[in-house]
Amino acid sequence: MHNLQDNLISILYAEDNPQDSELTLRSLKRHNLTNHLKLVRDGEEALEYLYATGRYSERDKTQIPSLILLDLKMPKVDGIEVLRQVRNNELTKMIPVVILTSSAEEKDIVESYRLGVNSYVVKPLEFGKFSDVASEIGFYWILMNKSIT
Amino acid sequence: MKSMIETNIVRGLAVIIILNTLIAGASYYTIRQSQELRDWESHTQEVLINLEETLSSFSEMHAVFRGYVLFNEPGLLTSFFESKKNLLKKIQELETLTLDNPRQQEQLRIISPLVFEKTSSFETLIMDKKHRSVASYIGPFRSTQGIILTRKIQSLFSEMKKEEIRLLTIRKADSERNLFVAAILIFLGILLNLTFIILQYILIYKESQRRQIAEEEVELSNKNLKEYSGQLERSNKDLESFSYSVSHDLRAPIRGISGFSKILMEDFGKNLDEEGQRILNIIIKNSENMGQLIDDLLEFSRLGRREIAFTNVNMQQVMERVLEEVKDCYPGIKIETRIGELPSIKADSALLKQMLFNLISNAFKYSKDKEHPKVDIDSYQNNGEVTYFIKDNGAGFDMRYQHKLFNIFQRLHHSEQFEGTGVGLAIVKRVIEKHNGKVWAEGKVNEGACFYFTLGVQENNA
Repeated sequence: MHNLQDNLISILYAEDNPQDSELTLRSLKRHNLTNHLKLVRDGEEALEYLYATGRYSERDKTQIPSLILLDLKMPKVDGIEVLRQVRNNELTKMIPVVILTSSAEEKDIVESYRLGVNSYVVKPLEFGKFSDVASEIGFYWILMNKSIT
Repeated sequence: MKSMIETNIVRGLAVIIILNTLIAGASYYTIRQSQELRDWESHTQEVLINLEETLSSFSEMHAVFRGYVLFNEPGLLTSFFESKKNLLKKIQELETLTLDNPRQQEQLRIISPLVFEKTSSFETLIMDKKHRSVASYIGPFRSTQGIILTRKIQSLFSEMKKEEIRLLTIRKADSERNLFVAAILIFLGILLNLTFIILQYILIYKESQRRQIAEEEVELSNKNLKEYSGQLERSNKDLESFSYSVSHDLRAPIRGISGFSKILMEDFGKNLDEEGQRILNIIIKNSENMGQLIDDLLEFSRLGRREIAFTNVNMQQVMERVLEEVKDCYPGIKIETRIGELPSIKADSALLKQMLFNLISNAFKYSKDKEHPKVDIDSYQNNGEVTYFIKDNGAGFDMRYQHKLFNIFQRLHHSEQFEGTGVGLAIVKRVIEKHNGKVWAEGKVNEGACFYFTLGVQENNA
């Protein structure tokens, strides 16, 4: 059952704040996208999941997500580092990556685009807007965007 | 301001110049004086020589006459007249030479007739000689009268000589004294001059010392200033990153409160009674306000760190676009707007847009409750500087509080009346200041407000 669900996953979502992730999940749920989502708590776990190491060493690593949703500020390994590694790896370099963060700092934005992010989204504070943004991201990248695989 | 030392240096230089001029003048004067004294000396010597010669001519005349009487040689007679002529000539010369000495003149006046008498007696004897023998001469020739006359003449001449020698001694002494005094004066002058030059040197040395110290002080204070401005910059950075991360980390809990309250309302709102719903709505409203405040704060803090990038901005176009955007934010409200002629300007286009958005949406916000709300945007030229203004006929403000208008978190209206966080105009001011421009406002309660701004003359001309 676990394996079967993993195989279906098309969004990898790295977020250390459980409240933010719950709000995001709730919004994605409206578009029926939550059963395609794997939530990880930090960058380290995201990398382990992607390359089937550590906690996820038994995972089939040929199964790659069709979207990576990254928070920037995370303990241990941050979003920028995850992005760098994703783009430097043949296996994952084609996956669309969306940064979903609180930071509208120019240096964060510039660095993310320099490393090849597909989209940079600042989390809106107001719940209504936040909910809209989250569901739009899922809707666009999972349902609208035509990916290679 | 000139230093005391500097003034003294200038004074000292003037004294040195005056001293040198005085020394040169004194030298010239003493040289001329000693020249004069020497002239007098040589004059005295000339007189002495002349006297000597006169005396010897007189003696010679005597000798020649005696020879003639003894040897009766006609050649000696010629020599006698020669000597006589010579004697008279010398006496005449003496008369000219001693014009400066009245006493000698007086003596000469006595001598002249005596000499004349002497020569005449000689000549009488010569005339008589043709009729008398040699022996008969002896008596009259050796007459006591003739000897007395000779002695008198000789003594007069030697008196004159003595007088001249006395004069010579006096004049020599004068000349020596003069030279001595002059030498001492010049020596003293040079000594004084040297003293002043040394004094001057000391002053200049002191001045250079003073300047060096001042330079070191300036250098030190510059260094300190650099250090302080570095510290200030660092602490500013710290403060900025502090305020940034505070507002940044505040977002998550606010989002939580706002989000979960919304969820609560959506999922369980119907289970709550009216009062419960009202309270929940207050929580939602408050968290939304807080969220807005944090967003504004973040914007404000970001603005402080942004580097400004000047481009040519078509003010007319930008204003029209911003006005459209603002209109979209206030749907359903009919506001009469007018845009006058707006000259283009050099500015940071993104910052400018945000600033204009804040100003125009303010104008909308405060005038939307009026019966015929009007927003007027225009510009005028003043001393080559363009002033833009945005005018509304809305709530206005009390001019007594105008100094608070552009300060962060300062509001002139209650949030029940007009919502807002008190950051918008602070952002406007920061943008304007980044452009080296000015912003000010005029208003009257319930009659409207007018916001003026310039974007700096330099950027305008650049």
